Amino acid sequence: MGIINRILLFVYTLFFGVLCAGVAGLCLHIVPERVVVNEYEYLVSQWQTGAVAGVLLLVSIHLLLCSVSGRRTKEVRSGELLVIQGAAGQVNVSLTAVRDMAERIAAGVHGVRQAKAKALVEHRRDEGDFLKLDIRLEVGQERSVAAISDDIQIQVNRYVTQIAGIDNVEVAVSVQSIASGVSVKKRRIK
Amino acid sequence: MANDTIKLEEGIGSVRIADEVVSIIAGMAATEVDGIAGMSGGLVGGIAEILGKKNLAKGVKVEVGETEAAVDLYIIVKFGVRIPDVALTVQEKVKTAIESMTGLSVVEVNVHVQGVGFPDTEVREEEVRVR
Repeated sequence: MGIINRILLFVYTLFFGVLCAGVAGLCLHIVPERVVVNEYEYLVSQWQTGAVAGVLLLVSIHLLLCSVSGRRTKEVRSGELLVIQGAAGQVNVSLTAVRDMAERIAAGVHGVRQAKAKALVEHRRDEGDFLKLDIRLEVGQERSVAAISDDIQIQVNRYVTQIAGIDNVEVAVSVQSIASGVSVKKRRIK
Repeated sequence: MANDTIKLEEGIGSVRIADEVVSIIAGMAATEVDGIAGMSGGLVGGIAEILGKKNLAKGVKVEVGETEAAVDLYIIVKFGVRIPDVALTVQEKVKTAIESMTGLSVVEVNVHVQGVGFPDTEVREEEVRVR
């Protein structure tokens, strides 16, 4: 479950917890009936009550759909990849480490000015875990974009497979911008 | 911490080994492996290092029972080294070190690669062209 859904679930269950505590208090006659009636009439007359109810209804529908959705794949954007499961124990590689490696390799390719990578693991029911690397580049004009992209895909794929020992990997390269190649020198003398 | 000790009952008395000792043995054995850039201690470890406190058990978590131990190591590897090979070497060395120094049987050594250490880039000093 993602972080946003967790926050929604927390708020939702907190609200219902408080509501249930209130109902229990009513049943035990902790709160006088006239106070309850007054509060009820006040709340019903406010538009904010309707707005909160509407928001909670939408959250309910969202969480209900999340719970019954049968997604074939599940994406994980943080955590670790299991590389080896041996008799001596497990070897896990964090997605942060994989991302840093990919960025470093991509930045070292001739023609690349800047590289940013995102790494996520896709849990596919039928095929197992897949590592997806999304590399975004700023390139220069000295080399063709196609050649740079091919180079990066080959090098990153090779490194992740041979050095990190991760077999199922997909590398997606997207070129975000092309640098103009003109650098402005600042005068140092007056 | 005083409760987290391993007690070995011998004929003439008992030997108590603190968990931290096992952690330090594991940490030192791991850092000696070629290809390890360092141990990953997280935020607390990082702050402690900045304050000048050396933590030999940084990046090590141990679970110790009467006769067995399980170790989790959080490491940073050097860029370019083959991760599975380094990890397997770490597992062997840590297991051997703990078993030989404490007599405990190590059931598993889990290695978590948290980052990659890159060599420092050289800084070129610009020549002064004017006087």
